[in-house]
Amino acid sequence: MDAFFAAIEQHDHPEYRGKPVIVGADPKAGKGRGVVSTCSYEARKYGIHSAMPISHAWKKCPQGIYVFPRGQRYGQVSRQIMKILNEYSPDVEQLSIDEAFLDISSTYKFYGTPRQTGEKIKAHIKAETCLTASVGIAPSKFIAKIASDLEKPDGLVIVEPDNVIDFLSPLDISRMWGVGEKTLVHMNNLGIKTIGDLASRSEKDACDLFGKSGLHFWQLARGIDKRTIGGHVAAKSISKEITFETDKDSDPELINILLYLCNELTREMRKKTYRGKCVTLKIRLADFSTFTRSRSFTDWVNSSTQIFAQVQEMFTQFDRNRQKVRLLGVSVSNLEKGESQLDLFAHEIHQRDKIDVVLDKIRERFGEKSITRASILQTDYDSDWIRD
Amino acid sequence: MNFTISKAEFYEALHKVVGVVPQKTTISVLTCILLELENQQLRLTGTDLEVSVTISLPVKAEENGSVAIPAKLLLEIVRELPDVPLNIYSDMGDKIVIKTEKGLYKLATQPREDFPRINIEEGDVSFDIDSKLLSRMTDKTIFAVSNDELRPALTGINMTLSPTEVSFVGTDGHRLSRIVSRKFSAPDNAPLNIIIPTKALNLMMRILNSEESLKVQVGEDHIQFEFAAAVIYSKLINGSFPNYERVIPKDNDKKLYVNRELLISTLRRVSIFSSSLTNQVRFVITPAEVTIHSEDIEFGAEAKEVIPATFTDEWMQIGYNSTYLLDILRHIDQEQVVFELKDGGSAAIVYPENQDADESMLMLIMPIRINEEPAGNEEETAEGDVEQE
Repeated sequence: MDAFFAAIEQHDHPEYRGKPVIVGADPKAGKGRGVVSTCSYEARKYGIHSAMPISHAWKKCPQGIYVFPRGQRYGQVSRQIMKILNEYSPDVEQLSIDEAFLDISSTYKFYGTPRQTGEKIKAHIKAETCLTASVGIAPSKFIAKIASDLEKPDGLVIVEPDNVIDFLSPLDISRMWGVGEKTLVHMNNLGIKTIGDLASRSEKDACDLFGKSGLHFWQLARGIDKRTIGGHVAAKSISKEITFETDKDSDPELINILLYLCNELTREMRKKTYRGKCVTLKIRLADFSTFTRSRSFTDWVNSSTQIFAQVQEMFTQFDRNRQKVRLLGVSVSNLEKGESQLDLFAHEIHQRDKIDVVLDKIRERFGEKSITRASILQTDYDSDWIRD
Repeated sequence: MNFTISKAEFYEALHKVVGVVPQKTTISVLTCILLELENQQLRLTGTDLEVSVTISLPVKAEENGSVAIPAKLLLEIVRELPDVPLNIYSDMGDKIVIKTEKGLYKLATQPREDFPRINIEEGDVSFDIDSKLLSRMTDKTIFAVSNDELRPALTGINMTLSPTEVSFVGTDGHRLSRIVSRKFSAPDNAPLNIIIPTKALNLMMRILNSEESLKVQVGEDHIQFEFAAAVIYSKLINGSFPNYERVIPKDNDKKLYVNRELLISTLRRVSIFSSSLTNQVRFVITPAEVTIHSEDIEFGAEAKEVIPATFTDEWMQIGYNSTYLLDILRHIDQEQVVFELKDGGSAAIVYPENQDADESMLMLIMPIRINEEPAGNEEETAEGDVEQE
C-alpha cells in the first residue's frame, strides 16, 4: 500500500488531502521526540521519510499536518485489504500491516494475464477503500517485492522470468533484503555497489565475505529465491520500547518502567500465543549511545515474572556511567508460536503465571486501566512517555 | 612427596577424578587435584564444593606429603606420556616434578591448606547396592533430567527406597522416566526420598566397575557412594520433587503397539525435516498404521512416512518433540513398545511390551499441542511491533 497510514488519514479527513501529512510522534513544535511512522507523498517532497526523528521532520516542514497513529483503524483497513487479496489466490502471505505476497501462478488465468490480475487487484482495492496500492509481479518473492517498490505510488511493475538478471543487476545493493547499514558499508568498501556487482562474484567469495548470509545474498542477487508463499511468516522477535520526554535517572523509576514494559510485552506474546527463549534489554543513554544485553532461557517463556526477573538483573548489572536514560526497551526473540510443548507439572509450576492470566482477563473485560501492578501505579506513563 | 607409579594406573585414576573439576570457577584452587601420599597409598581428590571424588591407589612411596596440582596440565602431560613408570616428587617447596625416561616436567602447585576440606559426615541411612543395578537405573533415567536452573528440583534424579523396592525418576517436565527395581532389599530405616544431582551420578557411572557392589550412605543433606578404592560425596538437591504419581494418567484407554527400531529409524529420517526450533513431528494413528509427518515452514521442507502398527482405536492425531521421543525409545531395550494414549493434549505412557517380573519401567511424554488454526488469520499488529523478515 502507498503511504498506508497517511493515505488512510487523508481518506478519513478530506481536508488533509493534497497536503503533507505526517503520522508519528507528537512533534511539540520541533521539541518532540519519537519518529515518523509514515508520511504522505506530499510530505516526502520536503525530504521527510519514515523512521526519521519527528523533530527533523518538523524542521523540514513545520506547516505539515502531524497526526498521532490510530493503530486500530489501520488494522481494520488492513484486514479489509487482506480479505480482498484472499479472493485472488488461496496462498496469501501477509508480510506486514500493508504488504502481502500472493501466489497467482495457478489463478491468474481466471483474470487473463498476470498484468490484468495485478490491475484488477489494484482496482478492487481502490474501489473498496479508495486507497492506492503498488504491485510487483515476478517469479520470486524477493524480486516481486523490489518491483512493487519501483513505481510507487500506484505502480505496477512486471518482471518476466527471462529478465530477472537484467532487472536486478543495475539496482542499488541497498535494495537487497537483509542488507542493513553495517553490511552496506562493508559491501561498498568491497566495491559492491549494485546487485549485479554481487552477482558477478563467485559463490565461494560471497560466503567468505559475508558468512552465513553471504550465500543467501548471492542467491538473491542471481535471482535465486526458492521460498514459497506460506500463510504467514513467523515473527522473529517481539519488542516494546519507550523514549522518555525527559531523560530519566532514578533506578527505581526505571525498573518500574521495565516492569511495565515486560507486562505489556508478555501480554502481547500471550495474545498472539508466542513464547520466547531469549530476552534482550535495550538502553539508550542521554548521549544517544545504545546498548543491548541478552539472556537466554532453557525453555520457552511468556511469563512476565520470569522475563522481568532477567531484565531487572541485566539492568542492575549495567553500568550507565552516571548518564541519564533516554530510552528503554525489552524484546523477546527465538520465538515459538502456537504449537506448544505441554508440561507434565503445569499445574504446580506455573502458579506464578496465573497472575498474568488473571490480569489479562480483567483487562480484556474491564479495560486497559482497570487493573495494574501496584508498583507501576505511580508511574505516570501517559503524560511523560513517548511510545514508539 | 615422592612416589613412583605406572602411567596407565595414574592416568586412569586422574581420568576418574577430573570429571568433577569445575570448568569455570572463581576459586582457582578448585581447578586443582589434591594429591595426598600416606602409608604407600596415594589419594587423588577433586571437588567443586558440591560434589567431591576421591580415588585411592597403592604406590611405591618414598616420602609422604600432599599438594594441589593444576588438573588440566597434569592430565594433559600424563595422557601424552608412553606407558612407563613415573617418578613424581616435590621440588623447591612449591613445585612438583614428573620424571620419566623421556624427560622431566615441572609444574607449579598450590598449598594443600588452600584446598577445601571436605567434611564427610556419617549418613543416617546406609545400604549396599549392586553396581550393575545402580548403573542400569541411572542410565534409564538420567537422560530425562532437566538442566533448567530455574527448576532446581528437576535437575537431579529422584531416588526413593521402600522396604522392597528402589525407584529412580528423572524428568524435565516434558518427559519423565521411572524405573522401579525389586531386586533390592532396603535397609531398616527406609523409606527414603532424595534428589541426587546428575553430576554425582555421572561421576559414579565413570568410576563404576561392573563387578563390585557398593555402599551408599545418605545423610540429611548429602549422599556418599563408597567403592573399593573410591568415594563420591555429593550434596543433595534441596526442594521437593514434583508429585509425579499424580501426573501418570489413569484413563489412557487407547493402546498403540509398534516396533521400536522401526519407529526410531523412521523418526530419525522424518525429524530431519522438522523445525529445528521445536523438532515437532505429527503422528496420525489408524488401526493398522502410523503416519509420521514433519514440516519446516521456514525452509519449505516436509516429510512423511508410514509404518505398520496396531492401534486399539479408530483414529488419533498427536504431536511430539522428536528428540524427546527418540530419547525415550533409545532407553527401552525391547523389540515392541506400547504407547497408552488418550488424546492429542494428554501425556502418553510408554513402556516395553514385556517386562521382567522384578523390574518395571515407565516413561511419560507430553505432546506438543498442534495448532490447527488456518494460517493467515493473525491479529493485527501495530507497525514496528513485530519485526518480520
